[in-house]
Amino acid sequence: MNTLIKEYIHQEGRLPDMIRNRIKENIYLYALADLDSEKKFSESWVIVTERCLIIATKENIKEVTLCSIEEVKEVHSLSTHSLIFIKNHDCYPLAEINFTSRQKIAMGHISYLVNQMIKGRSIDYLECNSDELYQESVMRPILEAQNSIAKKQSATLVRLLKYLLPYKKSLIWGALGAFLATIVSLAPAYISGLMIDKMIRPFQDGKLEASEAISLAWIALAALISCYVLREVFMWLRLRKMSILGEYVAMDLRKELYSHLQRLSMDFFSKKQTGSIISRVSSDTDRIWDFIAFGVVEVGIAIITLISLSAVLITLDWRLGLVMTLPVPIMLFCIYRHGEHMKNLFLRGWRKWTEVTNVLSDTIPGIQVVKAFNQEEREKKRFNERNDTVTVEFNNIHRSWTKFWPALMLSMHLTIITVWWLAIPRLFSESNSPTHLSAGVFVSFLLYVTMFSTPIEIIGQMARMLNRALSSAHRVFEILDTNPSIDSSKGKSIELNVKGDISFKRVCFSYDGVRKVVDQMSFDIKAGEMIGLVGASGGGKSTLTKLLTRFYDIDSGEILIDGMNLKDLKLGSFRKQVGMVLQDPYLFHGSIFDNISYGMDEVDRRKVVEAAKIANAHEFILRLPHGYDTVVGEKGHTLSGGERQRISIARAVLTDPKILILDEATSAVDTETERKIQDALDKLVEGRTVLAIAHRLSTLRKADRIFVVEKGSIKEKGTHSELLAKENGTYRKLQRMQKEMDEAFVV
Amino acid sequence: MTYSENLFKFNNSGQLQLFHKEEWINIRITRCFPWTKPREFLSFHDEEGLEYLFVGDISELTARDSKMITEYLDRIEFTIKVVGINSIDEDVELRRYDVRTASGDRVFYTNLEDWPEKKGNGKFVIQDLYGDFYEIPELSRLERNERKILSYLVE
Repeated sequence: MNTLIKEYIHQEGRLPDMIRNRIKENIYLYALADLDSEKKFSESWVIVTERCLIIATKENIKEVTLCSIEEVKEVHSLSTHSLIFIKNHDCYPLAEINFTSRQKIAMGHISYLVNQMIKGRSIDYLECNSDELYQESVMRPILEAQNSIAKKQSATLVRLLKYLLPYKKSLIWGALGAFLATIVSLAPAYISGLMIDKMIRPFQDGKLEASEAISLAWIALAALISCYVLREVFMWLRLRKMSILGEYVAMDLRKELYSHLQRLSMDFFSKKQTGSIISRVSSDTDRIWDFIAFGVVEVGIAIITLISLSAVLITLDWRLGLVMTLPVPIMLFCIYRHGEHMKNLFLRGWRKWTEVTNVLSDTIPGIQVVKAFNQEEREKKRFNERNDTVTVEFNNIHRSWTKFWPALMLSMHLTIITVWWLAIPRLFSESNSPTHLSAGVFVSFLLYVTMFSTPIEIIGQMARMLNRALSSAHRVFEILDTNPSIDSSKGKSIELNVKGDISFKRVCFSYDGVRKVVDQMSFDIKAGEMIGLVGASGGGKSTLTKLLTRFYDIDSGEILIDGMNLKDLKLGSFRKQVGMVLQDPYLFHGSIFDNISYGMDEVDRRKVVEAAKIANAHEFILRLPHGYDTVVGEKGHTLSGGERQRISIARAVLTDPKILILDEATSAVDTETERKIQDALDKLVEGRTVLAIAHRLSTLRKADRIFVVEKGSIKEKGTHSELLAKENGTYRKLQRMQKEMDEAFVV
Repeated sequence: MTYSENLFKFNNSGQLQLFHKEEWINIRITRCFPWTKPREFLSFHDEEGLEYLFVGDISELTARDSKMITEYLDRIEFTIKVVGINSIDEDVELRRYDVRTASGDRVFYTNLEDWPEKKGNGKFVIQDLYGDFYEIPELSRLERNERKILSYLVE
């Protein structure tokens, strides 16, 4: 990683040894301050140790004891950020460091850690390696944008080609077909020359009888026919075997990729964009198919053709052969340069084209606004201006390629003219002259020359094709190389028939390894108890439920289910006994029946209907034209938020979970729908251990106890009345605020 | 509106303060139009976003305040100013800029689908993968070969 950082962003990837050796204490974290006070790029390192904050350059070191810092102030602007370490607002700052956004994540860690330490909070959980943490924070944006940089291109190509191994037989047939088709393609030109030199010329010179000449010519023609037929047979073999082989490789990759995605933990999905993951399974594997089915062979054929053509031409006549082959590298270079130029032109065209589509994506969905403001003429003008510009750019592109290819062909023809020019004196020389060139050899030569342009063109595009395929392969392999952070195959894998007792014992968790989202949290919940979780957004309520369902593993502490460590339980079996009703339930494309019975192998339809009735969903389902067979989800029937919620409740009822998590299940719906959902939830929660997150405190009226969660810890816990009795309690404050809002609404 | 009295000062810890209703308040400045009207329409507010003062044009302040605020804005609203371009290349999925800036030499990366945007002042601005802004001068202020390198991305 250190080398990558140096190569990519031209800075040190780790704290230099020169500085490190001068620090005697254990280094917790460090980051690079890459701007000086004059906003010039510079290199000074900010280091946090047990006792001090150290600001070090290669020349000097400044130490600030942590106990002298009262506050760390972060100032952010467009491209510069500062951390100001303040002792007292009436004094000059103890230290001020400036840095660009490149260092922002690492500096964020420093700021957080120093704040924790000066507040005397425990940082026992901080077991991460400071080098790794710094390097990961600095390289993350580049690694996320380009996954290929950590690997060698050749290694990726070899790995990709290994996917061909199961299809060795097809590969051998395909490659053989390609090779033979190329070799056979060379024969007709030779046979044509032979016909002239050995049949036509001797006959015209009276050295060969007409009957003998004709019978020889028929044999030559038969050979020509055989060559063409064989060539097409070999081509068929190649195309068929390789395209099917490519399809199998893509299928294997898709299968492996999709099953690996199912194994990956939630942290992977939270870091990657959905579109990016989908495109790896779809378009990237498609590109790889294209490369294997056509690219590998096309390039192979082009190289074989070019080498064998050059060899044949030089063998036939080395002087003319050299005239033809020597310009080839120059032509390849010209094609490469033209490709680069076209790439820039296409980039400009693409930019302009984006501007056209931007107008469309702006105005078509917003057509009502356009019309309401009577802006049709303005939008027409805007579109036409951009349309005109893009046409100019595309015409530039056409002007460029239409100039280049005829010019290239002209240079090719000039080479042929040169060949003619050199050949004419030799063609008309005495046949016994050492430089004499026979007509047949020359005709063969000319026919071979016509075969030159295609392989040159293909080789010219080879780099682009290879880059695209390798880029896709990198993206696919990146997922395959990601290990799930939660490996359910490790540990004891105990199958537990869950009763519902939950214990959190000094649980700590952070998403990024530094900032604690759950901080030393401890509580016990008895089976069948309903717990309400309240508090401001970002306090850690949802994280708590994600830890309970083991979407993430905790950093320290223990989570016990019925007295057993959650990590020792068989994950799949445990999750089947936990139900979740989320704020925005997700329905898959399929019938309502499929959605309610999702995750169950065989289900009695009667039970599905029963579950829907309990969830207050039965009535609205029957109002739909196709009842339980109504297709919902993407491109299906659109259901309202409340309806989707009730289907997800029915899903939870059907699975009969021992532990139930309700995460804002009644928010974002109207009062009438909320009443129906609440009624359904009241039936659902009976006899289960429930953790219910809610902002509207009225929805927690049935909760046995309420936990007020703030900044990763439980600030208050108790029954509704106990919490209300606390004079300056947060719950009491929240309750009062909601009451005031409700009263204001009524007024 | 013009102000006849000085309203601002820095405290010892370098915090900008505004004199408001007989007391000094820690203040932040947000520019309404940071690219097109950087010295006009300034909002002076506290950390919570509560606005204490709105100035239509910095010249409405006293000469001292105007100078102080201009310097302050220059300091806090810093962008990396490109003065020359060595190369712009495409890597897999990324575009690599090797540039000379007023702060020193710098190599930065953008996504392939990102390119410099023209701002109201004729300059171009591009944001790299980390979120840093790079201000590129008008084409006419670049060398011929630099213009050629950049032209595909901005013209």
